[in-house]
Amino acid sequence: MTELESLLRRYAQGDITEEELQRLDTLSHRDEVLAGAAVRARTLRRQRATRMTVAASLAVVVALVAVIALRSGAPAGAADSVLEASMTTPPAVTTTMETMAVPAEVQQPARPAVRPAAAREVAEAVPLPERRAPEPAAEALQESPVPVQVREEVPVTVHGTEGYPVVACNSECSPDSVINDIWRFLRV
Amino acid sequence: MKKYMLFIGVLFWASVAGAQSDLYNRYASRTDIRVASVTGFVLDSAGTTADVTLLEAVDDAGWDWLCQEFGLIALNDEQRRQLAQGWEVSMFAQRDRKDPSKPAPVVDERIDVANSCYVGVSYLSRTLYIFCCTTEHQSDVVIDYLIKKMRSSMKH
Repeated sequence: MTELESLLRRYAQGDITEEELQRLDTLSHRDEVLAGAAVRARTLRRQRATRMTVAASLAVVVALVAVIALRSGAPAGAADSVLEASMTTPPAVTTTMETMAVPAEVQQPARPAVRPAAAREVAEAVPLPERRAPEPAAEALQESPVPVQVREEVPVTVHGTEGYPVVACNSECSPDSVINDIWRFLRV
Repeated sequence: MKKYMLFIGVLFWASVAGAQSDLYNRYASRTDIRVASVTGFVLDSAGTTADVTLLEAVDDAGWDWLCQEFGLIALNDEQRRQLAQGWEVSMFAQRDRKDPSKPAPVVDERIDVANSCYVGVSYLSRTLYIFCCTTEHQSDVVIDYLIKKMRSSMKH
């Protein structure tokens, strides 16, 4: 079993970690079938990048506030040197950002191997329920000038004998054609 | 003897007719969808079976309704172009067994396989293939087919 197969199997069973999902995204980026999963993986990465950006911005703001406070309270020479160090040496700012305590709401929470939401995401990845047609469209469909005809009784035409598949249709159909249709879908 | 055979025939018909799935009964009354239900579809030489229900749109209205009912993903331009050229565009998803138009149920952070089914969609034939499995082995066999199908489509 290839890595892709293994990942796809775990993906289909909902037993996949975030890293594996990203790996699957990488391996199957051309596959439109997994577009939902790919989009979600990209969204997660984007969210993380956004959080990091927010954290960095907060760190810079806090650093500037600290510098301003130092300038207002400390001797002028010392304040200038701090300000100069902060603005002219980006690594120092970076270090500050990394060591600074990030507010709880910005921190990325530690995730279990499979989050409840992740399992749900996998279940919903393809197709996305959120991508259903919006309600106005549904109303428009209902108001279609061509009304949907519904039979009063459920028609059943049953084919088959004991030991063989039983085929039921709501219209004229050939059991062989139905079974061939399924095989065509599975094997093409 | 004739009456006996007739009685047996009626019994058999009643047994198979009454065994139609809720899924079949839910959609069979629609005239814009051709519904076919196969009970005991044999998946492999080992005799693994699954119950399969086909929902085929008879016309545009039926297809629109299926897309809406099952929340089918909209195709992008490239997929539409491939479809127009006669290429198969398909997808599959794991859904709720009782109502395949809903997502598969999740229990203890895992998809509840026993209460889910697999929905394959052929945009070319505008047909939904719903595979209902009751055992994990059946699910594995169906997943194998769908994965092979996916790999095949990725080679193209």
